[in-house]
Amino acid sequence: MPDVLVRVRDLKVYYPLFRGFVQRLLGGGARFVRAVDGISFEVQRGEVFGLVGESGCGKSTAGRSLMGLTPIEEGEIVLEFPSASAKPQFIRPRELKMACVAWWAVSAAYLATATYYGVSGSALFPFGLVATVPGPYVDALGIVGSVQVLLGLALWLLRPWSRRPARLVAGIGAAIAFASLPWGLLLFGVEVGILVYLGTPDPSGLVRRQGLLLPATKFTLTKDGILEGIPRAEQQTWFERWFIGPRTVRTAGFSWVLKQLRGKVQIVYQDPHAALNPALTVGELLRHALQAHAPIAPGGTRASSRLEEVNAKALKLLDDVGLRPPDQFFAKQSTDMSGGQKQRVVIARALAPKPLLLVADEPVAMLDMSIRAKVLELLLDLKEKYGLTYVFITHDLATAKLVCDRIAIMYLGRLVEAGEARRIYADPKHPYTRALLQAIPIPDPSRRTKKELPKGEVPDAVFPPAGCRFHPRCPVALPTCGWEGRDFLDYLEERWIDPSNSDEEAALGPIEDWKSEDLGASRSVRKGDPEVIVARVQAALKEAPKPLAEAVDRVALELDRVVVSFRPPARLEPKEVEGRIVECLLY
Amino acid sequence: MTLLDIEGLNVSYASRAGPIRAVISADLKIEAGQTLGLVGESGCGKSTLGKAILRILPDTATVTGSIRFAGLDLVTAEEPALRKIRGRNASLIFQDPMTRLDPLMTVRHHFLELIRAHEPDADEDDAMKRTRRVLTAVRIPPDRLDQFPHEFSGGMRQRIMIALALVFNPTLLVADEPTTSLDVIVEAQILQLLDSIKNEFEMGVLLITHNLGLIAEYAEEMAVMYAGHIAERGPVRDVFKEPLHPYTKGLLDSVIDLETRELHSIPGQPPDLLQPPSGCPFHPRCPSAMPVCTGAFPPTTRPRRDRTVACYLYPG
Repeated sequence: MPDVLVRVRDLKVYYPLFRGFVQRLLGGGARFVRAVDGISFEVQRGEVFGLVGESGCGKSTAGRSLMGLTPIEEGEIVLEFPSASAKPQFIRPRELKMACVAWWAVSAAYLATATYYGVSGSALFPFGLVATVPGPYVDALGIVGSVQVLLGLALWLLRPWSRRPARLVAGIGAAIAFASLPWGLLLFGVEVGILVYLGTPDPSGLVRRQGLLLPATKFTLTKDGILEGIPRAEQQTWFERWFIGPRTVRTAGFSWVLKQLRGKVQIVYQDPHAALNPALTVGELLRHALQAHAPIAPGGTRASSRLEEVNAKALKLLDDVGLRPPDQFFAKQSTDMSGGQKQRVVIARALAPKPLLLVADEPVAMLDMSIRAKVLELLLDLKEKYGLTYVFITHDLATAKLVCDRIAIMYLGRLVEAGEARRIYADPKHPYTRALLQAIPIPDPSRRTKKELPKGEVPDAVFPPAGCRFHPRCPVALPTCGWEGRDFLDYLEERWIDPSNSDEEAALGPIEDWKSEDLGASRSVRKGDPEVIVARVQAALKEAPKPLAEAVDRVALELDRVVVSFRPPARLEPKEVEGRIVECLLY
Repeated sequence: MTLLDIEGLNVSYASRAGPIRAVISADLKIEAGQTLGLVGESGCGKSTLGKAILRILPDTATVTGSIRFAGLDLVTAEEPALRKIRGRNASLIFQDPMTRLDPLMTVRHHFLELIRAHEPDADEDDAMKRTRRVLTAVRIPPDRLDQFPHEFSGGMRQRIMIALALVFNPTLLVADEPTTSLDVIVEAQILQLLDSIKNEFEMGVLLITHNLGLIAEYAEEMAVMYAGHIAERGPVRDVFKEPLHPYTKGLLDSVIDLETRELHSIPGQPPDLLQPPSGCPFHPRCPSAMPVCTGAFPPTTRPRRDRTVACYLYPG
């Protein structure tokens, strides 16, 4: 059994921004919200892994990507589950059945004709058998058919030069070839048709072609879709090895494979009021989930499509999430329930396909204080009962401390600190972690302290800051942290709020006259005395925060612009610091 | 000096299923320069109470009792008198600044509209001078006056809301969950700002929130509401040290902070205001409920100095 359930490597999720044609022409191509910008982490079996951060840090996107709910720009997610059953399941959708019947009919007619003509009929018999096996061997038959036609043609052409007995054989051969030509062509046509029909890269097509589906245990999510791996070769039976082979599917959007993945990874949403269809009763909600993910029985029917069975399962789920008596809740409309009860229904629905991994996206954020603890307790109980692993997404470090075994703290699409929760809370290393912990209100009026809060707010994820993304707000930033032109402009703007700096604002402003490009900021000097402007800029920099001022490479006149350029940031890499991963230049 | 004196305030909403009593005989006082934290779960009537003070409830609401503020009884005051008070003597900050700022108006327009509502012939230059003063107080660069609300971040929008509330130096500020839609760091920034502004402008603040941590950090007095009733009232330090009402105890126990080792919660659900339980509405969830609790609502008593509680555990 694999101990690591989820392995995320250098994951990037970008959401494209809609921009009009003209905007694109003017603004240099497409733009993206870099929701997740290169994160790596692992989730162990049976643990509660916390993804913590402020809104817009990418924690929800990272969580959702585990379910294949987001496009992936780069990197990969590997989910490996212990295999539930090695028995292959036959998938026979109706189209496949019809295709098979048609195929067999054609093959039988072909065999009959070939047998009637004698020799070559019996010679072709094994190939005819092959024809009844849907699978990659279909192609072989096509080749045989064409070779046979060509052979017949060649024999007929060679006929005049052969000796008599040979001529007889050749004549018979030619006759057979001609007689079977229509069949061969028909066969060829049918086969081409089927191949065209099945040859689409849709994995459900693949399922149709092979007629077999193995419970997948390993999923790799990448930019191209989901690569689904069946059990490793040594775990396969000879039948699987010979007739299916290693299977990897490229897919995008909905597919059979995605559905398999969703049966193993489920999500609990933040807002229970929005997550439940108000038109359905609780029973119907659960039944949908149960039926959609029911195991498939031979012949294509769902194993438990019988209503009584599904209802019994739904009642059991309701009982498990503490909605008692279950039959009363079963008949209720979700709109008649309180927030806490609705969230329990959401949890029950997530448990319906018997998932192994549950992504809990702020499961208690919308609930009242007095019932939060109950829902958290329920989640922890269910973890034991169902053998679950959690990815717990929250903005609340206090809740994360209570429930998580390991946490990863995210800021603007990056992981800033990740490791054992115990260690991080005892001694946070990243300045952002420290800031977050400090900002939590302490429910004890006798311990009021003045908080040293980071300046400003989370920047725009379309244009993330250079270097370390936290540097503009960081209280302990270094000159090498990635200071750039816009930091200088932000500093000027902040400075000019103070009315005492209005003469400087008059000389250097307004801020719209400044342009920031890459690491520098510049302004036209056509309107004023260049020397004065440079001197003013230097004076302003003297009073600037130390790291910003020290990061300035030079202030110079270039043509008719005054340019403030910054030194490039130092390379930032995640490092191991005292048993956790930290991405900060301090270490 | 008592700034706001609420006595026996009742608010009920008419609905098809019958009246919903959202606030039931509430008594509150706010002193100048003081923050009163009003805490309760969703649906307890705390927002209704805040809106009742400025009389901005929907038409379906009926208000009785008395709200004495700025020499007026706001319950009986006529609309023109109320209009003079709103935004001038008393201001309101809402939970979600994006839905409260008009997306089609620049920040300049928001301020102009507000100032001209009270002083129809205000000079634009003068109005902008005042605007700059309040924007500086909340640290918003005044050169961004001509931008639209969507060009600001969530925290900045809320600071613009605060600046709008401050234009006329109001004596009372009602902040209805002012930071619920914001992140922890920005939340702390905004509340620190509110705190310093409160001192600078000598305002009384009614801070309505569901977060007890915020009350502990930023309020001096607090009141706990449950199902329309004020369950308990008193100085923040005393209430946190020794909660009297079983609901206050339960609420304080269920707070999750960095030092929480065990999870606690109050059994059951907050009641439906259409059919509240008889007597004390908390009795079905109360660990120390007595037979008397189901009868009538307990009288409000004063078991400690400066503190009132509505519970049969503390007879007069």
